[in-house]
Amino acid sequence: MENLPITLILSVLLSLLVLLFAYYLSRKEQRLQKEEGRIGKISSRIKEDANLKADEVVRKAIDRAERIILDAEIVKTDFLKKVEENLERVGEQGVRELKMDSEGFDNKYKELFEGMRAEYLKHANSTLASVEKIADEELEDFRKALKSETVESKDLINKKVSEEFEKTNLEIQEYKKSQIDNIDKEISTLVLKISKEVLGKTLTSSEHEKIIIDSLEDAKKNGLFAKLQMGGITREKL
Amino acid sequence: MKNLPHNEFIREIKTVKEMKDILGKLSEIGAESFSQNGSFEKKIAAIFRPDEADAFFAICKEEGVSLSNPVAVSALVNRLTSNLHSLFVVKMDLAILPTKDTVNAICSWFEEKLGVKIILDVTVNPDILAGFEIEIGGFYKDCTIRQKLDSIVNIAHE
Repeated sequence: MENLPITLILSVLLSLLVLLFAYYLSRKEQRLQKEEGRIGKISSRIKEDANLKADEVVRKAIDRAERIILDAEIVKTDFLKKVEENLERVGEQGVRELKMDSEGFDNKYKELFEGMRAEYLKHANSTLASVEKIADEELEDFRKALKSETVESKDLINKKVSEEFEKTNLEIQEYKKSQIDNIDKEISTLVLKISKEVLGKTLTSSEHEKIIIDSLEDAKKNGLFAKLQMGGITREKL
Repeated sequence: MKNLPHNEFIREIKTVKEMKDILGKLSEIGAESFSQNGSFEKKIAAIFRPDEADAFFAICKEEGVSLSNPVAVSALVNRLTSNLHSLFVVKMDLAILPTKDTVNAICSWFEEKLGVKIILDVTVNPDILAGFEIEIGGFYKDCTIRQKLDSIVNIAHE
């Protein structure tokens, strides 16, 4: 019983110590939570910045791609005008030459047509290739620019830009293909139109007559009139 | 029915327009053959052009038809009409209105190469550019330059 006060004192002291330690731990936890919140905010801000940067880069890339396509349209329109003028000159000369030889008309016209078409497509391809080249250069420029970005934003921007560029490149490829198809159709229509105009303007009556008689011979060779005779039409009847 | 010889009277008829014109004149002569007023020969000469009248008189002579015999003239007119109707009508679409020389060349080609006398029924369609679209005896054929150009272009696109 003599030791009771000492024991009590020690117990109280120990309890106080425990309480103090608990308080210390609680404060430390609060500090840590506060720090965690601050770090979280910083992290969010960094991500947000990275997103904004990525969006900016992608927006610029898309704007540029759209401008490239628009430029290509303008180039194409100017180009078509020039080609039409050239074709008219070349076509007129070609048609003049080939109309004199109606027997070889098909082959000669085919040669003329294919020649004009190939020439036109060559120019069109080179114009469209420049579109692709510009797009590739743009992508490379963006990649270089990304190297200077912060480590945190780099991966995110890289990913976004790569995705968008992949999409844009696909669009450019599709655009190129559709343009080539369109150009191919346009050139055919153009060549046909010029041939028709030239033929309509330049054929004389005697050339018309020659083509008619030659075509009658062809039709005879191909059996059109044999079919008629088989159907009962004979010279005796007439 | 005996076919009439291809004398000038028939040979000179090349187009549907000419054929209709002659058929109209033959019809007039047929009607005149029943009226006995005045000289029949003069009436024929008045209805036909001089070259046609000469050809008609020639065929009367060849066939032994007396111009003073209205029944015989009427029968000849009927035979001529029937023969004209039996001629092949070849419908052709051409890019330009053909000259007389071109019409002659086409008709001569049929006579020389196929042995048939034809009557041309021409429609002008500048879109075909050159050559012709033909319709004969139920057959149709596009022999135009337009078709040739179109097919070359189409093949290029295949």
